[in-house]
Amino acid sequence: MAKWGMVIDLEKCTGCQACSTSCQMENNRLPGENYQDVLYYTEGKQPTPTLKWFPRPCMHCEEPSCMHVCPTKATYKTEDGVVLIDWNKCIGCKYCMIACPYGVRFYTDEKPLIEPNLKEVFKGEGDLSWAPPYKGPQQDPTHGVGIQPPGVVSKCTFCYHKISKAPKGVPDLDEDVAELREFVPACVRSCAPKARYFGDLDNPNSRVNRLISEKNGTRLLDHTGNKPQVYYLTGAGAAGSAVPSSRSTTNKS
Amino acid sequence: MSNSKPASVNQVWLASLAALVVSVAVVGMNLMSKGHAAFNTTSHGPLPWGLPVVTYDYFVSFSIGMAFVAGAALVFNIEGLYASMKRILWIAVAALIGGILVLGLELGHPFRATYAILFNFQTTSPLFWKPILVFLYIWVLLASYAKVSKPGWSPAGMRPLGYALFVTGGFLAAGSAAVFGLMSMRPVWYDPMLPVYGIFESMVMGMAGIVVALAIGHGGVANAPEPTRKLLDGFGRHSMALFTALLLVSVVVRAWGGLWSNLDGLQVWRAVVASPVFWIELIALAAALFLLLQAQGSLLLAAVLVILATFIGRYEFVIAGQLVPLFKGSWVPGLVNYAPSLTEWMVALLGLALNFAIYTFGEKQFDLSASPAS
Repeated sequence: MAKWGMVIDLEKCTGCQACSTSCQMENNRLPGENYQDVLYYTEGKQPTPTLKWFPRPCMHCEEPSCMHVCPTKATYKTEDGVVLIDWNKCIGCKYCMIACPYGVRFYTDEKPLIEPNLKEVFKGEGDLSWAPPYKGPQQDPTHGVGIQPPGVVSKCTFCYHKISKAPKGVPDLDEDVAELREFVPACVRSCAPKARYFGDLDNPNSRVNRLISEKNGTRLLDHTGNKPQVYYLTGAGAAGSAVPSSRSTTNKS
Repeated sequence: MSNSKPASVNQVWLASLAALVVSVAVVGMNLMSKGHAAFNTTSHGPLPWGLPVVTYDYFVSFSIGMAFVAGAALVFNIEGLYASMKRILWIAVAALIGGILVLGLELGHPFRATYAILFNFQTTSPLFWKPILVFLYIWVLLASYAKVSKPGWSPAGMRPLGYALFVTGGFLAAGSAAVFGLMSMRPVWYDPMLPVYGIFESMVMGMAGIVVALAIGHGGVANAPEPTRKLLDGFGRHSMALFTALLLVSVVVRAWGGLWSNLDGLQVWRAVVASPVFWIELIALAAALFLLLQAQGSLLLAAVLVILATFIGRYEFVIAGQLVPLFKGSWVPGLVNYAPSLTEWMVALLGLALNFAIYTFGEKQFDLSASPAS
């Protein structure tokens, strides 16, 4: 069984947000529910501040704290290493949102980020919290795929509706390989500078493994022990994207 | 209904009913029309747990505190509290019901929670153990209440239940604190000793709660039965002063440590200390301690100040632990802005009003002053 993981090359990432946009389209996300986000921040002060950015999907950790704290086992890890939510079990306690060090989980029933509230404009029926004018064909509540019902938490699924249908045994899901294209997560497929790679972390011949070892892949907040399955390549020539080690706090002295 | 009850019982009963009507109307209307969008908690804020979680957690701790003190009285044979045992346990029941109702209004699927937590057996989650402990605690509490409701109940016969109250209350207080204290990704909360702190904070709340209940139930602490009054003037006052002093020290030391540390996440303490609410908490605790150390200082005022300070402390703790944003868009200095919405305040009021309504209903309908056989 594969252990799916992602590599993001920060030397190539231009911060264009094609990944965020395609994720929103693919997964019918509301504004603010950014399963995949590019975070912008500045480092340094005037007159020499630097604009930085950092692409951040769910890390699909090996030891996900969100899963361990979920009191109903609604958050679970599949055999192929993907962290998902069973919306039929979620009670909306939001403890997973507290426990996730990366802030990549979203609660359905909240004040809208922008007006008008799209959930009011496109009202959902039954178990759907809203009915977007274009909706992907997939609706799989036990894997947290599709439009979520009210009162639950949702998150990035690594486009589980795609990757779960990939042929068994392939080391990488590469959009350049025509027969695999449909199984590639939306953010990887739409990455114009090809900064994202998706493959089997357990397969020694996979490209993701090669990149991690050759380019010294690092994981975000590794000290938490969550062991993310998303690796970042920082290299030496990253223009603006960077792995932040911590928040920059104001000096006391 | 009995007419021999002090006026304070009727006044609190009417006030709590009025507050219930208002809060149920506002909460019902807003939650039915907007759902949880009526709360100011957001994923993109991001602050998942707001005032309703603070209130629920506080009421549960308060209930545990009452049960704790009742258990301690039975275990250590503190006779001065026997005449108030039924009242104390009834208030513990009332506070627990208020807390659980508030939690129900906070959860996305409260009815699903009643069975999904139990049957999925996620033993790694503190939120699996807490409901299990609450379930045990409810049974021990109800059994204890049923037993002291019988005329001429025997303290010796109650001792096993006293131990059970003490043990389940202790584990539940520790388990409630562990929900926060085990979160290593939240430095303000993370502390393996937090469960111990939770036990001791519950004790202070329990002591203060008993004083307020006696004041309402008897129309003033001075009208309480002789053994209870003697206890409150001596050992009760001194032990409450000791625990209040320890609480005051712990609040100062925690803030001090937070201000001193460079650990990422603890910068939130600068905002906490800059808030007037923090100083209200400190002043309330200091004033309560001052009153408790005076032989003639008002016990009731000290108890009210302790309840106010512990609620502020719980709010500060739960909210401050979430104020440093994770990877939601910014990790530069600057904290999440959060102030409870009107609906959240009304949820808190609803819980409080329900507590008081249930308590005063008990005062009016049952004889909460029933003493054991002498």
